[in-house]
Amino acid sequence: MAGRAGFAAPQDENAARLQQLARVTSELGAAETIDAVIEAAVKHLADAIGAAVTTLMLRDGDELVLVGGHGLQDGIAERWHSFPIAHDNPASEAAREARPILVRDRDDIAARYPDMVDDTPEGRSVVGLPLGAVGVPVGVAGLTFDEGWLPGPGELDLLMTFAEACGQAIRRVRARAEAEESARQLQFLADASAELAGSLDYRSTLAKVADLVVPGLADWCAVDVLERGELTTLAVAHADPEKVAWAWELQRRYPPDRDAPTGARNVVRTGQSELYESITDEMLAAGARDEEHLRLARELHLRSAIVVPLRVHDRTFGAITLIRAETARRYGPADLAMAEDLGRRAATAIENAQLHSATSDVARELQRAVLPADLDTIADWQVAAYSQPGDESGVGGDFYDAVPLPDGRLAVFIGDVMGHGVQAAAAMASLRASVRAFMSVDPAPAAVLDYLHKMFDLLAIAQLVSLVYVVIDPDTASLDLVNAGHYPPLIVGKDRTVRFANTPPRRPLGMERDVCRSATFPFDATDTLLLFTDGLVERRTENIDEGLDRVRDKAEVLTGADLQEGLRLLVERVQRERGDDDVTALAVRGA
Amino acid sequence: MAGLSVEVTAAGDRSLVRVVGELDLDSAAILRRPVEAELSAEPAHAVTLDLAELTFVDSSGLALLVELRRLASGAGVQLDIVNVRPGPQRVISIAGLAETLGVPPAPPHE
Repeated sequence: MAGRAGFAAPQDENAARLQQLARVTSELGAAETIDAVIEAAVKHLADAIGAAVTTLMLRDGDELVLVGGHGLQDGIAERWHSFPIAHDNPASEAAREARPILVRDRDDIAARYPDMVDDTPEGRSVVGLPLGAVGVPVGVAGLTFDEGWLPGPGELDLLMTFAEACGQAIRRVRARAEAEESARQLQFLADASAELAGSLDYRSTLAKVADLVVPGLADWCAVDVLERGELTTLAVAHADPEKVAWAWELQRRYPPDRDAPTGARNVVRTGQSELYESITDEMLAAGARDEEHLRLARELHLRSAIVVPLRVHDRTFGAITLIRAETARRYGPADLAMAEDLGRRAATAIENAQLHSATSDVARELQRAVLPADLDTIADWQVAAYSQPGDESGVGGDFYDAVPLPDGRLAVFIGDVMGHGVQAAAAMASLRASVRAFMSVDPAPAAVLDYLHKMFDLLAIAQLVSLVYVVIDPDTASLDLVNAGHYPPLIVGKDRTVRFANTPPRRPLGMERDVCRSATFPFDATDTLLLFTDGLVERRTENIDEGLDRVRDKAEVLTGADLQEGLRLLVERVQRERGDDDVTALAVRGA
Repeated sequence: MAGLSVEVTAAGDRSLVRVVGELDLDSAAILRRPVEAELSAEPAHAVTLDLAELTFVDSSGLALLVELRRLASGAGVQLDIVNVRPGPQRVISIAGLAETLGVPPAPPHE
């Protein structure tokens, strides 16, 4: 719409434009997004009243930000992308004073707003209308008319009605967006609680926290946790994996300052959250170590941040940092409340996971503590042991020992508590001690097994335990053994003959006892005895006999001079395809 | 990991429990719950564990089978274990549990 503008047209045309303005105003009432408001305010208003240029600016803190324009000359939008409300120009003044500002022509501009002269073509008049002047204006509509036209009092009233409707529409759309955001956050927290509750592994819980947050609530998320007194970053998330890698690199090159007055370290120290609605360049400069660091930090375009503590009861053990970068929306107090809620839920989940991993650690430590450490120092005998707890449970129920008897014989045994976890490890610990105790009364295999059965009966132990117990006698070049439901030992001759010491199957401990009878096999000073548990032979995809055959076929590696190395090689060769149970094996030979 | 699935159906006057997959520490609970429920159901009825599709059992799985047999005998309910494949059958035999579980012993391995 060019030429002589607006309401100065003839009567009937004027009436038509008033109708159009009324229509645009009602259009605003139906607008559901900020974009729809901008469209109505900029394009349709220009058409309705015949302005040469219309612009819409919204308040963001101390600035006005140009969000839409129609008929703008090249370069104006860039130059006036955002500017301070304190600045001297018609739009800023309209926003400051919450009243319409009218500027008649270029001379008027030159007198009142000298900075603007170059941006105002000859012969144009300018009008700044505050949007939603009842209260603090949310923004300003700028109108420029050809030939110095300005609205009269009645026309200005109509424009102000429009501007008021525009401001209300923006407030309404924003309020609804905030309500939706709150609902979304509540839903997110509900989902997060459910996810975290199901997580028992400490590190995967942390990774889950970070992944839950990005990109819905943050562009960046980092989780820092105190480990052995040091605050350590355990998870970083961003939608772009390359940026994650880059963030780790940045942290490696510039480790965080332990005494920094703000950020995760301070939050862990004080237990108080931090909210940075705007991250300013001064903040970046204050935190940077050197020019390069500052340059890299600037490249991240960080806009807004929240740091909340991970705290259970009064103990703060970490912090979650949320950062908005690419997303335009800044964090506010409502976001802080949501993040604090997330921090509480995550902290509870992490504590649960830590308790769980502590329980596993206890079982593992227990196992390590009760397994013998000094087998390689037994006089006259070479004893090699291999023990690898299963990957999945991390805790095995395997136990073994080798004990020299005063008459030159050697007692060795291996067993498996059938089940895993802390209970199994605890049972295992007491079993090794029990076997050693009974052995000191009478080391004969049948006697030891008999005592064990009596103990299980007396204490009503329902746990099943398999056991092979062997006494090797160098004087008679033989061994005696009992086998209660365990895999048979393997005897490897110096000439590389390999045979299982098979006996009729007997029930494991924890069940009604079998008649205890020991079996005797030849075993001389050059023979090697191999005891093992299921992890060495069991595979899910094959019959157990294939596993037994595999061990038998590869057992000749035990005939080498270094028994410990031979055992390691045997396990490695047999286990080449991964097994997932405990692997425990014990090899014995005369020295 | 193949996992375990359990299907319970009525077969005449007894319950038939089909056990499919791998029975180990992780999957034991999947079998334990439905069988415990069957063993304590009213009116009491015999239960058959059909292991025709059980491809693997570890020591935790053996311990569970023993426990279920004990529960059954404590409740005075018959629990039969049938159609054991050669693999699990060997593991049961080596563990000395063939008689306890009512499974025919596997021929010894040479």
